[in-house]
Amino acid sequence: MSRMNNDSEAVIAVNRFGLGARGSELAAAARDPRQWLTQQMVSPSYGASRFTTVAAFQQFSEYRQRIRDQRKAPAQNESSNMQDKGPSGAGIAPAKVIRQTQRALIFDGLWQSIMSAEPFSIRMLDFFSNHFSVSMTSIQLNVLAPLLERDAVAPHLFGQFEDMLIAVIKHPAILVYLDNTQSTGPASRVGKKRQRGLNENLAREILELHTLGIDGGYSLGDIRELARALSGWSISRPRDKAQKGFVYRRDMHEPGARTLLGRRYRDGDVEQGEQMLRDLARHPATGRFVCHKLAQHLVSDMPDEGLVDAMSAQWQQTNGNLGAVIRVLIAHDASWREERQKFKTPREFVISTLRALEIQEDSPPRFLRQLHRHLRDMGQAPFSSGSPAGYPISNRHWDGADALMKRIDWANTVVAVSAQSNKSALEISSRLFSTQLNGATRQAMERAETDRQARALLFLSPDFQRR
Amino acid sequence: MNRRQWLAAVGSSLVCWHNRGAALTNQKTPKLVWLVLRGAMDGLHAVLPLADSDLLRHRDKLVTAVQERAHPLDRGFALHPALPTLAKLYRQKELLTIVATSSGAKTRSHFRAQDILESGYNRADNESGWLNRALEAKRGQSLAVAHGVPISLRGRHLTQTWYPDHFVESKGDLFERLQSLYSEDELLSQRLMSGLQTRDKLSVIDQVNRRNRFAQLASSCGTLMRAQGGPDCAMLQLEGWDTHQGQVRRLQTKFSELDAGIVSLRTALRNEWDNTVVIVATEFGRTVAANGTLGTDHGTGSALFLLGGAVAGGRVLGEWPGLKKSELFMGRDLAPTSDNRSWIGAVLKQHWQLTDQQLNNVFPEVPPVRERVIKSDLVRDPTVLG
Repeated sequence: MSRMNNDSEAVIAVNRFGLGARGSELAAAARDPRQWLTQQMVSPSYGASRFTTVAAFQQFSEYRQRIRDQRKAPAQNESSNMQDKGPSGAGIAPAKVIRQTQRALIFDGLWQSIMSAEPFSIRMLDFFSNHFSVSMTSIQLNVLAPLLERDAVAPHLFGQFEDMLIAVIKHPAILVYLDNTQSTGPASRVGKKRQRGLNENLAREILELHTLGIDGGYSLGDIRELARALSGWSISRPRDKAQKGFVYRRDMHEPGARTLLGRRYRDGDVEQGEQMLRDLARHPATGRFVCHKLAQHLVSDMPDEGLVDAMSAQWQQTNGNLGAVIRVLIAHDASWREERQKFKTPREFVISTLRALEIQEDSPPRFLRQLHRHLRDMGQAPFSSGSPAGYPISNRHWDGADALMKRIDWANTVVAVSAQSNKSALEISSRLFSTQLNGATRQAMERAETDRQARALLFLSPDFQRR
Repeated sequence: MNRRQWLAAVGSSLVCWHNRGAALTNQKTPKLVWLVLRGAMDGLHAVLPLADSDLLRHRDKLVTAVQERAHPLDRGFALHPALPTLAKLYRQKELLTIVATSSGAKTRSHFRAQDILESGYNRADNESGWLNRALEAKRGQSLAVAHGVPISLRGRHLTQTWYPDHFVESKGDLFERLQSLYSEDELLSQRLMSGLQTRDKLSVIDQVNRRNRFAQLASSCGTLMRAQGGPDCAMLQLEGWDTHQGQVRRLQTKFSELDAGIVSLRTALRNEWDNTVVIVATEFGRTVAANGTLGTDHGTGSALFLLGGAVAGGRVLGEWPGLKKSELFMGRDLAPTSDNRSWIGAVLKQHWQLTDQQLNNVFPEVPPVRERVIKSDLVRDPTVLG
């Protein structure tokens, strides 16, 4: 392959598949753009900042205990100067502890994206985190949602999809968010005694959103059968000392053999549901659904059919090995077309801008608090899509007029405060696009009044906003 | 050349809100505002059924705190004291109060019930909102005063969103430079023009208030709707109705906020107000009895408001189910006697002239009420009332 080709492929690798260049990434990618991507296929790690699901449950227990204590001792400090009274009004101080944890987790995630030396792996993390979207809709989920990404999604990014699926469905975040914790088989011990029943929400979303897709050929009966198999998949109660997090409750599990998509699953405890999830993960419809969505995320809203076919075929051959499927995408010519078909999401836009500006360690936490607020203003705050379907992937949801105005204001502000970067606008642009920058953009930058304005024009240019 | 002049020069050839309907007929389009009160507004506290002798038995402390100053309506009902504008609109026959309504949600989960309220289906579809389906039939333009597109407006029809933010507004010639930079990028060029026009509409009339208090959002919303070729329909939302405790104080604040929002919306809409229906709904009601912390818990039936110059108002509608223990839903909630969607359906039929077939697509299996809800001189097709 000629040097020229490597240059243009490197620009695509860094901007389309990465998060824009940080530092000299483009030069590194130019040596072998495709290999530059494959060598990033490692799960992100969360070294020192590691906060576990077990620790979260410990915090919840303390939170509840504090509320109980407060109720026992009637409010003498009515005129407490704490501002935050949650909707329930109870538990002021403990709520603060949890909010701090929540903030730390959100900020850490943003910071990791800005600093990452494996931006392609972050793009994959963002995809699957959004695929299994959980929103911060309660004090518990405020902490659990980011933990789902860390504990269940990240470790399996390039492994078997079934392992990711099972880890996700067993994670307290999804069990709480999709109402499975109380789901009880009517013929189970608890079901018979207390006349409780199934909640089908989780089963429905697994089939519709996580695996087969809405057109994946399942019936209402399949939803019910999966719900029965998942009955008893719950989370620990505060008094459960031995286990924190996922708990399987046999006395809530519907006994008996089940049939899902025409296949029979014999009576069994948690293994019955696990086997169903494994088969769902390997199902060709799941492969097609996830591969299509992945190609949409990375390459185009209307991805090349040959590309999706090749990825899906690999899915079937490898029983859903994500690393193998991704290698097919990287090797496929349709992934490397010159045309920039994707419009960056707000998150991709701000992260890639900050990477290009080489924001440094001394920036957080005030900076990250602002960044979080700005993402909220742009409509893409982490873990806040408000829907189990996650944030939309297609361009049209992000390229509206108001969205563009917000980007302009944001970019114009950030180039002002990032004076610490000692690179000129043209230097930054060559680190992003080498010699591939559009003539109009280059001209606009050269004619800018100040270097600051030139930077704003660079980040707002079609070259940078489209990838 | 300043930005305004430049806009006038460049923008004259571009239309911000493409309005197919108006372009064809040049007729004023009937405006609709959809206001969602998130968190479950206590309908019994908004519209007090003072004539019901059982009311005090359930919640005397909540009632006695406000009943003397409440604004009397017909049929023995009264509006909360902090809703003076709504009371005035009622007297001017521009407010319909509908009691004992429900969103159709059979859940007491806020989010699930809001999803149902917004999607308009019995089982919520997070990607298809009732307002979007109605707009598909109406072929109008819409605006969500929100960060992203709320469920109500999700679907095939493409909506605009606008929300004040924390950014410092760009000034200077950056915009001109960007317009030139975007000259070969049709989409970005069009978006920039459209965004500048929206911003201009807001700044000219209101000096853009960046604060996101509800009254200011409502004002900006009205300004945008009134503007030449502005949207036919807008969605607003107001959160914070989940009053499990300290309800008297908290609802005093919330109702004042709501009332002030209606004032500023009306002021901003100016003449368009006569052409407007505002639908105010919540996901479910609250328990009839007060709880142990002077609040109320998640319930079922609540109240629905239809207001605006186009509304055939001045009435309290909806069958009253009564508050005797035996009359309560599951022994604790106000029993709903009608579905929000049947009233909204009537608005769509009479205000936007949607056909029964189109309405069935918006709200499957929930037929519109036959009551007149829109002033008759605004009902252009006399057959719609059957």
